[in-house]
Amino acid sequence: MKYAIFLILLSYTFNANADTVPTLAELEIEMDTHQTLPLSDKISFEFVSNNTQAVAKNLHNFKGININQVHEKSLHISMTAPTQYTGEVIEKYYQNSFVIDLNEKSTKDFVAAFKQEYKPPFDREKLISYVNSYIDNPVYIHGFNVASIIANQRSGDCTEYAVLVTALARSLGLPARLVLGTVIIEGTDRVTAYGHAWAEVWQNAQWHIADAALYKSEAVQHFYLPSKELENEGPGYTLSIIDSLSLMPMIIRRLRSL
Amino acid sequence: MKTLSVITFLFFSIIITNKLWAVDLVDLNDFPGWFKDAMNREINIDDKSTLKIKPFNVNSEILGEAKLIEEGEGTWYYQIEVGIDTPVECYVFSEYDGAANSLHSIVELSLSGVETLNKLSLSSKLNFAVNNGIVGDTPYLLFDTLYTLGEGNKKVSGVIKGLAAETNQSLQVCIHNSVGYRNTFFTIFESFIQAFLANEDNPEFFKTVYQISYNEMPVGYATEEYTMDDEGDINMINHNVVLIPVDSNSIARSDSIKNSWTRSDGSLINAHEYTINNGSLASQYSITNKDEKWVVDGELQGKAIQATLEYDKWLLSSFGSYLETINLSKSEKKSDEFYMWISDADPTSVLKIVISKISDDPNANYQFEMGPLVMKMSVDDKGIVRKGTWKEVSSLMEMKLIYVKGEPTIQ
Repeated sequence: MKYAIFLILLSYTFNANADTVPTLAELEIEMDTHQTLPLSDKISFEFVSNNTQAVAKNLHNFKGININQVHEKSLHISMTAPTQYTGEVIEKYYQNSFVIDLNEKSTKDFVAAFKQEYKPPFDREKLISYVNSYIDNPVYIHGFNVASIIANQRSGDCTEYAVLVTALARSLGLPARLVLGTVIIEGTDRVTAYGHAWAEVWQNAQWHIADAALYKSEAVQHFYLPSKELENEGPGYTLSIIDSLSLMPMIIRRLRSL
Repeated sequence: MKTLSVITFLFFSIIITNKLWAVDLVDLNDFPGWFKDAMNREINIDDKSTLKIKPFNVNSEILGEAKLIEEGEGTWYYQIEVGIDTPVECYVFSEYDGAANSLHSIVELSLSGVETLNKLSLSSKLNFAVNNGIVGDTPYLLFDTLYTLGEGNKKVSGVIKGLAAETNQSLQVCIHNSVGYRNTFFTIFESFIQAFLANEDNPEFFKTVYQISYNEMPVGYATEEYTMDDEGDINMINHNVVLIPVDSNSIARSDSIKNSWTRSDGSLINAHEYTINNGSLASQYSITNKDEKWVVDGELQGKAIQATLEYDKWLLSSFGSYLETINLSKSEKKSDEFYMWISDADPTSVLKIVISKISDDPNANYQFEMGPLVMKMSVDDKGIVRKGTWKEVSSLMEMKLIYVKGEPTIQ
């Protein structure tokens, strides 16, 4: 069980700051016949999964994502970048937790340093930019670290960037949630997909994706396909991560522009 | 719950596989001819010397001429001359983080040493090969690194080969900084490890070693050793060791040890465990039963964990899971469920485990559901898992039995 969980936690490791490709997080993706690049900002694809009903259920709260057909082993999805969560703001999104540990000294010091550099209003661009530069050792070796550890070590991959953005937002009074899912990345010559994590921050009466890991990405476009938010932010967070993994695509097929 | 009486122990040992050669992470065909030729170099070793380390009861002949270079603070450092340009270097530690973390640390230390020796800075390194296998009843890890020092005309490349194994009281890590000689190096290492195994006491009545692979890459191993005390309680020591390349030049490492006590009916008495990930203590816990409540003490990511579990009944131990699988195999029932404390899932609560018979998979006859984690297992008639698989999305994790001694029963 121990090795299993350690390996599973390494499935969400993508970030644009590292010089290398994370071998464990890469997902299989196939373009539709005759589809060339660049893509438009609206795409469709077949999402192959053993868990289609649960995937469909978890995607209904997003603007920009439409599920056109649900089969036993696949979903036909169309999406427009950027996607947007439409769920309500709940108390949890403001709160201190085991993972988003706002009251630990290193987290407080990290937030204090941000406040010294930036003055209100704290728009999400500032949060993303700050976290992107704060993590100065972008590596894929970490499974899933809590905010205070990341604030102290300044090291990590997409999960660490997402945890720290969530902690920073909540510390500043902005509701935030941590989302696990898939990112489809359109480069200049190919399209790739990775297991990914990002934060979503509530501002100006709507949710916004706040992805510090891909802040400096030179890709043409990113399409964020959420699996699930980190529901359990307590010491049992790993079960939530395993749960979200089962909602990721086994393969994305027939990807094309609409 | 069925209580098994102690009648006798059945001891038998099966070595399923002996040597497993490295899985290369780079394609040698991409390298110049001289490098490929150098990679194929091997040498026969005839010289032998005696290795003596009193604290570990080691006194055996090994291949090569071993010289103790340094000793102190629980570390012994040997150089073993084998008649080629660079000696094999072997470290013995009485205190250590674990095979994965320590092997990685020694490789990093050796890279620093190579920089100093050549007066050139490291310009690149690549994960070259990983593997694991078994020497006698002891699993080992293999990790080779291809490095380049300097730039332009001063560029120098080399390969640091590394092997590590943990015997009963110590950890052995051997390094060889030379291109090629892979089988030669393994033979030296194997001989070095055999010296530690020669006089070891092995009181366990049941032991397993599993090779762990991820997407068909061997990334670690898991061992379980069961012994029994005079009162009939059973002690299990479980090691989980993972060394996995996460990109072309980084490697994630994890070592964990769990020590638990179980009654002969398979119920947990108590457990202590810790995990070291990437050189840092990731977690440590103990679970004990106080006033008919399960109490967990410890830390996770540097933060205290103190919890009295809501669940206060009988908890299944790892040994118990063998017994219940055997019981299920003999019953008409299709599945059975139990509660286990699995700290990695959640140290503050118990997890429902469902063991089911399955017939829709030619490679498995049982399914183990641990919350959202579902593993399919091939279990033999003694209750021993021969192979287990977990498949989700594009990930395939497999555990394969590579060594077994005894049976998970007491009679």
